[in-house]
Amino acid sequence: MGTGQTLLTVGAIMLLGAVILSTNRSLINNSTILLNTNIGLEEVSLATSIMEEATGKAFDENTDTNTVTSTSQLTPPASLGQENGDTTDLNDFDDFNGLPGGNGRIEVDTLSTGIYYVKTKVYYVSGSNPDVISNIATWHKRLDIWVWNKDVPDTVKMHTVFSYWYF
Amino acid sequence: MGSQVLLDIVASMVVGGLLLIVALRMNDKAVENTYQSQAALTVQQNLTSLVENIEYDFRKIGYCRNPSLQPKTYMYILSGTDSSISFVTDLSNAGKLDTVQYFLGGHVPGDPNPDVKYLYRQVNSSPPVASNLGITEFHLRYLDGFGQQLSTPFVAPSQAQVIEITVRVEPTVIYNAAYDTIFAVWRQTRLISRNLKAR
Repeated sequence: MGTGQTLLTVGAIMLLGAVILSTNRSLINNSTILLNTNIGLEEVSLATSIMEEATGKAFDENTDTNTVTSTSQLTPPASLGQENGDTTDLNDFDDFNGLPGGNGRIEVDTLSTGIYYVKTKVYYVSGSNPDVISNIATWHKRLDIWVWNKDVPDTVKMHTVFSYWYF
Repeated sequence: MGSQVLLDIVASMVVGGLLLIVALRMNDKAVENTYQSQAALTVQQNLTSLVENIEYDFRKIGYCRNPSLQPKTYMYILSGTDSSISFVTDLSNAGKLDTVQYFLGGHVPGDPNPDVKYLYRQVNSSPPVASNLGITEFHLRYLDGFGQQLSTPFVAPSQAQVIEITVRVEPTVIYNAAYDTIFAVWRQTRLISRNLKAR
């Protein structure tokens, strides 16, 4: 085999190798994207679960068994969270301000795809501007939830506003 | 034809054969990946569709537009097991109560995936409507207001305030029959109807 033929052969093999690598990379990327969307589904389900659980509680510690008619009767903004550090009794919405767990987050490993971390925050917002934190107590509390999987770069963030009605 | 030429021909056939094998394997892998990707996408779409429907119905448990017809606390969930539930709600917001039932049926005949089952939804006395979305698991847990699991079947349905649903969906058809290894999707959600709270 002459030098020209050898070069042609080497070139062909390199070209084929490049095509194979490119195809392989494409297949792996495809699988990664689908795995990420699968994990995204579970993250959304986890966030929804917490949201559902939180909105099933009383609006405030002071509305658990009583009714209030003034925002001054509600828990002050700086005191939102578990009362007296009791992390086992989540009985009102703002108890979800900082779920109990290490580093301010809880670890969930009961889902099918790895370990998930959840962080939550509850604060007062005004009815006219629910995206801005209110420094005074209002009839509306907002829950922000962050859920992420340590193997996936994206974090799912969801929020809901829970309001108190009195007549 | 000299021996050198013969050697070149044999060597080139060997190398060409190897390259052909590589190309065929790559093509096979690409086809498999295409089928698997499509199956995974279908599974995820089926799951979201299914959960949307379930959430839509479950969220309204105990609701009735006509307050005088609203079920009393003890009867909004009529019965429940770990794979079925029957409850009352005003499904179409028409001011009348409907009885809605979800239950897991048997295996889908003729489906290549042996684990896939029908999920039935029945409204009032209408015939149950079956969905074949690749459901392999439809598991329900009922919790009381303190987060304690209630045993099923129910003794006191009024105690159930939280319903935990686990749905697992697999592809109904898949390349190489690898059903439960690659494409299984599992979801858990916790639903609370506002009307399940004690009144």
